[in-house]
This record gives sequence, C-alpha cells and structure tokens, in this order.
Amino acid sequence: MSSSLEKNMLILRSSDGEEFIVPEVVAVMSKAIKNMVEDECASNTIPVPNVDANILAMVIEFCKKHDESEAEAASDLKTFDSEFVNRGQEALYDLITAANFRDVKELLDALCQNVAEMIKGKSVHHIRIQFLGYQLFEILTSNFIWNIWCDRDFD
Amino acid sequence: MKKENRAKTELNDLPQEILINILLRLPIKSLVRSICVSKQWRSLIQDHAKTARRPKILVYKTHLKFSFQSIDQQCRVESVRKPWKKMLPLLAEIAIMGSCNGLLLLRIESDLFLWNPLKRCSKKVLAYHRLGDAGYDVVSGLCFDSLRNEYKAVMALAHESPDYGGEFMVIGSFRSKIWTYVQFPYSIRTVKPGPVLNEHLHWLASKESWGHFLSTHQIVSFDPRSNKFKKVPMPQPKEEDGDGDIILGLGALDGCLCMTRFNNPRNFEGNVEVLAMKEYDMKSSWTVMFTISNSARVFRSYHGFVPLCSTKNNEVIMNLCVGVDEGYVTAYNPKDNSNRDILVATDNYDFNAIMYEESLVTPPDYNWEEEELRGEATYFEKYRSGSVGKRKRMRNGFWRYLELEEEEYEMFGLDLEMVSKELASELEELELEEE
Repeated sequence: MSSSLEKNMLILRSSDGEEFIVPEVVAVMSKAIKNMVEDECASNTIPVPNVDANILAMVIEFCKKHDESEAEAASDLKTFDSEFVNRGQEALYDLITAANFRDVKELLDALCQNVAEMIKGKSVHHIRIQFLGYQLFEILTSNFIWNIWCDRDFD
Repeated sequence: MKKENRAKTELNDLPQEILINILLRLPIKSLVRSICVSKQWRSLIQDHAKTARRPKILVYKTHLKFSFQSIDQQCRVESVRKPWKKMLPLLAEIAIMGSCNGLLLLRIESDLFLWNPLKRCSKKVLAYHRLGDAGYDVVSGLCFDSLRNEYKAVMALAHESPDYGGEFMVIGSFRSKIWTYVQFPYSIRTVKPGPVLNEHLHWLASKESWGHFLSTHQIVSFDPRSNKFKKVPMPQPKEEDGDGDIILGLGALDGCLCMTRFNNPRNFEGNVEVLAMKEYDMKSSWTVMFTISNSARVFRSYHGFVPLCSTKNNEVIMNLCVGVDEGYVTAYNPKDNSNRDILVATDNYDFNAIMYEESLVTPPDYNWEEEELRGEATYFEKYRSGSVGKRKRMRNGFWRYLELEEEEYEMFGLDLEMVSKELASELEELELEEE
C-alpha cells in the first residue's frame, strides 16, 4: 500500500465502502478533492459520501480518459464524451449530482449538454412526462386549451 | 400521493443551478417553449432571460421587396417574419439601423422602432421628421447607457444640398425624445457602421472630406454616457510610412473588436487580414487572427468586408459587398482557408447583414402612446393597427401615403379604371344570363 502512495496515489472511498486507488493527477480533476489535497487535510483515504461505487467508477473512468488523452485529438475525446454520457436518465442524474458535488467541470458540462440535447425540440407534454415524472392522466385532466397553446409551433 | 407515483429521480430534484445550466444550453425556441412546462421552470427562465442570448445574423433586403432572413451559429438560414402586420407602401424607406442588447432598431420612413424578431414585437420609440425628406445618406447605430438605463440612437446624416443641413450628427434619447447635435471630428460621409462593445458604439471614419473609399480610416467609439466620440487605439499600420490602414470592415468576434484590412495595401491585390483587439482599448493587443487569400472576390470587395459572427465549427461568417450590387454572406474556415457561400444576392442594391443577439428581451416601453394622443404619432402607427374602413378614413389626412399608393398601382401595372370597367361588364353579363 505504501509503495503505491509514494507514486502520488490516492484512495477514494465511496458511500457504500468500496475503495478505489487513483493517481493524484486524476483525482484532482475534481475541484473538491483538489482543495482537500492542497490544504493537506486529506489522509491517504478520502471519503466520497453521497456517491456510490457504481457512479464513482464512472466518474473515475471519465477523469482517467480526459487525463490520458490531453495530447490526443480533441475529436476522439468528443466521441468518448458523447458515448460516455449516453446513458439512462437515472444514471445521468446521479452522475450530474456526483459531478456537481465533486466539482468536476468537464463532466458536468458534458452531462448538462447531453440533457439539453434531450430536451431540445420536445413538446411541453413530452418534457413533462419524460423529465418531470408527470403521469398521462395528469396532463389529460389539466387545462386542455392551455396545453394546446403551449404546444403550438414557434415557427 | 403524486410524489409516490413519480420516478425516483427526476430533473426537478437536481439543484437549481444545474437546472438553469441545462436550460440555458437550449436553443432559444426550445427555451421559450419550456416556459410552459411548470411554474418553477417559468420563474427560473424568466429570472435568467437576460443571460440567454444566441448570436445571430439578420440579412435583409429592402429594395422593392422586403425580406428578412436569419443565420444562426450552425449556418442554418431561416426566414424572419416582418415586424409590421399589414402591407407597407411599396417604396417606403426601410432600414435596420443598429442592434444592441438583443434588440434591433428599425427605421420606416421617419419613424424608429425597437424590434425583437423572436418575440415578434416592435414598438415605436422615436421619430426624426427630417428623415422623411428623400436623399439623406444615413449611417446609424443603437447603444445602451446602463447608468441611466436608456437607449440612444446615433445618426450620421448627409445631404447633397446644404439647405437640408449638409452633413451633421444627431443623437436621439429614447426617454426624452429629444435629438441633439454633436460634434464629429471626421468626415461624416466616410462613416461606416460597426458593432457595440463594452457599451460603446464603434464606427469607422476618415479625415478625408469626400468619402473616397481608399482613404485611411480611424476607429472611433461613441460613449453614450458622455455623448462624446473618442479614438480607439489602432494597430501598427501595414505601410510603415503611412498614417493608417484602409479598413474594409468592423465587427465583433467572440467579444473582441475585429477589423479587416488589405495585407498588401499598395496594389490592393491578394490577401485580406482579419485582426482582433484581444483586450479592449489596448493598442498592443491587436493580433492577426487569420488571413484570407483564396478568394477572387477579395480583390473587388473594397466596399465592405465585414466580420459578423463565428460559428460552432470555428468558421467566421463574413459579409462581402462586391462592386455595387453584389452581396455575399460567406463562411470562412481559417484552418484550411476554404470558404462557402451561405447567401448570395447578385442583383440587389440593398443587401445588408447585421449581427444581433436572439434573446427574450422585450423592447422597453417609452410611452409613445402619450404622443399619439396628442396627435404627433405619424401614419404608420395608426395604419398598422387600423381596420380597412379606418384606414380609408385615415387616408385623407395623409397625403404621403396616398401618393405612394398610386405609385404602387403603377408598379403592378394595374389601371384602376380598367379594373372597374372589367368588373362592371362582368356584372352586366351575369344579369343578362339571369334574365
């Protein structure tokens, strides 16, 4: 364990107790962790509450890729980003919360852009059902005329 | 009860700053639609309406057939609805006079309107009665004074006859509705319009009195707070012994003031340079962004070569005026020096393009209605809002409109008497058949 720490490795512990060994350069892509490391208030193991192992693994994967491919072509990174953020909504929101909490700017940008792409061009009903968890009957019973007005095309 | 039905995580559970981060990435049209989604979204969007801006280009032709088109950052061309509801007189003088804070200043005859093309609302804000007299060359701009929270229109007017005032510069305040004359140390005929940056309006001007297009230019900025013009620091001239450059166009790219000039000013051939002032008001921060060399048009484009806007894939959209009646809106790619035309007009004298910001801003209210009640508003305001009968009654008092209407008939090749005779004979035939 001590040998790995000499090479600037950090241990991140997720909310459900799983531990990840990450190089420091990758870990400090998160501003929150960077601040902890700079203030030297971090021991070898950094707890990452609110983020479970599954999501933390994804975040680390993203950060690693971005750290490695700094010299690589930007287009490669873009395709990786678009594939990475192409997930189900629930995972997406968990990722956003994690990225926001840990302050990983690149990840947050990519995720928000993805959600915006999903919302883009959708009708009001569609947005309500897909993103706000409205049920169909709620929409049908709400003000019908108003809804038609909302959905008119802006062209 | 409702909460239990819904999915565990949804968009509204995210922190507000994330939600607004997502919403502000939407295209403006989707954003407008999202206002109706829920109360929370509506208040969020309305709070941030001022920050939601997308650069766009408005291309307009005003010669005989009015048309407005917009180009967005993906180079998509859309037609824009006209700001007036009914047909205008065919020969009405119409121009876009400036853009600022997401609003456009529109001139119809001697009236000035603030117009937001997305919200489709236009409001009459000012009138300058001299503009109704034909023959003025007008260069103008719109700027905003954030200290007094007021818009101002700046116009450089030139008329061939000294009876009409010759050359002069006026500034109109939207709040007080008063036009004031200001001193302008350069020749007014040489003024070319430019963008608004840092609340300053930028223009090109030249010392030489009779606007020769090959004279050297100076960039001047107008400060709406002090109502004064001042020089903007210029880059090192291309010709070392010369007193300046011949500037082809002034624009703004990514928040920096930009200009275009010939790379080799002695023989006007070949390349055009695009320069940007990276830090405002810093002489040393002028840097050459890229050079355009492959276009044969460049040689003839001394009437205007204006950088408008940068696109999503790092191209730069330029407006070229070649000769007197050819206009192009072209996207240049600085990486491989290629270009592609977005819009072309080869037979139009009034082909123009201006950068503006698509936004949710509403034109502020400047209480023109008061003046209308006092009978000072001109025909257009009433003409636009009236019914047919009301308009007929209006005609008697407005000779200018009547005159134009007659001209319109001539333009369409219609003879009123002929039309009425034809109608009468048709009616007679119908009556005969019935008998």
